[in-house]
Amino acid sequence: MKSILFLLFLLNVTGCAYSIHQYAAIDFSGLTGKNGTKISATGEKKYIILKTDNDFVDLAYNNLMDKCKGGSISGITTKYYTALGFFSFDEKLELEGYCIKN
Amino acid sequence: MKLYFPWIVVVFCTSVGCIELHSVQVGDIVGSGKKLKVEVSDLGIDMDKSLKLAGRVTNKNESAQKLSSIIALFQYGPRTGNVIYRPQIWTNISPDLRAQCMNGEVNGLISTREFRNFNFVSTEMARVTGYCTGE
Amino acid sequence: MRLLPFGFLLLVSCASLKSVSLTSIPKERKNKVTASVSKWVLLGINFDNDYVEGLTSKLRSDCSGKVTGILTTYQATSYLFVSKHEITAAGFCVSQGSKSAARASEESSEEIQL
Repeated sequence: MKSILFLLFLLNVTGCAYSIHQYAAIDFSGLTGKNGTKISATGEKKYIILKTDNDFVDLAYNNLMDKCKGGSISGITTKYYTALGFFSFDEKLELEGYCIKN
Repeated sequence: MKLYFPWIVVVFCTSVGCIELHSVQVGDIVGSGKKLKVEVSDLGIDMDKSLKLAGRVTNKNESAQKLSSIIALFQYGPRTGNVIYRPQIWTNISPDLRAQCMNGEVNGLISTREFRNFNFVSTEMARVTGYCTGE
Repeated sequence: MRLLPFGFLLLVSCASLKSVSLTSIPKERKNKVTASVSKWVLLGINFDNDYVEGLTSKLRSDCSGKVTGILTTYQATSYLFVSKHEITAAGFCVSQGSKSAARASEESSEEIQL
């Protein structure tokens, strides 16, 4: 019983650990005043022990483009981080930008 | 003295907070103008070092070592700097940048991801600087 | 002669690429502009990375229009006791296509006059 409680405690204390890899903004061209509609997209994938691909990047990228059909996207910011876990981890990429439709 | 020298450097560096740069990105540059800056910083914790220190203080080195190994299993995955516990404070940068440049255009952005080391804890930082043209 | 291996060790270096980024590449790619900033760090003792901020002004000084297609590389070369942190940005200077670029040019010329 004691060990179960201890494990639960450990899960609680260490289960929500994250590592931020990238947090950036690069291009805001074409954005002046309040033009553009804010859009966001997330790509996420769980990996067990080993990371074999980076599919979550394409997922976030395609999601963002789908949200602004027929317009250009500017002011894109990226937040790439990992949620650490028990012999596994979740890779997450959050993209945000502004959709400009003429 | 020779033996102590590397340790003096390590202690000095970790006690005063040496800074490390993880990544840099430079965006398109149009011109100069008002300088913009957005900064996010969070507390990073090195569980292994923290527990080792706790073990030394409480004279329970072995238990601390075991606990550190178990926690390492629960914090598995790729890392940049130390782990953080509040990803929600790393909110989006763009509204902040645009708020600083209401009537102009943001350009010349430099995004950096930094880490200030204080031995068992650290400051995990991200900084975005740029210019507001045409305001 | 005894110091020869030590001298050799001082010269041996290891280079590592820390990050790379690229912005959209323009059609007009005649005028290439490059800039780099660097910092020597002794035994990892470093208190700020403010040298990075000089990069945009260096790039801007070589171009009156817009600098785009910027390839940024951040590399570190480690020697025995010191390391060199170098950020290089290379892009293309394109003519002022947008209003803001024209405004920027006006601003920079005003700065020069001042």
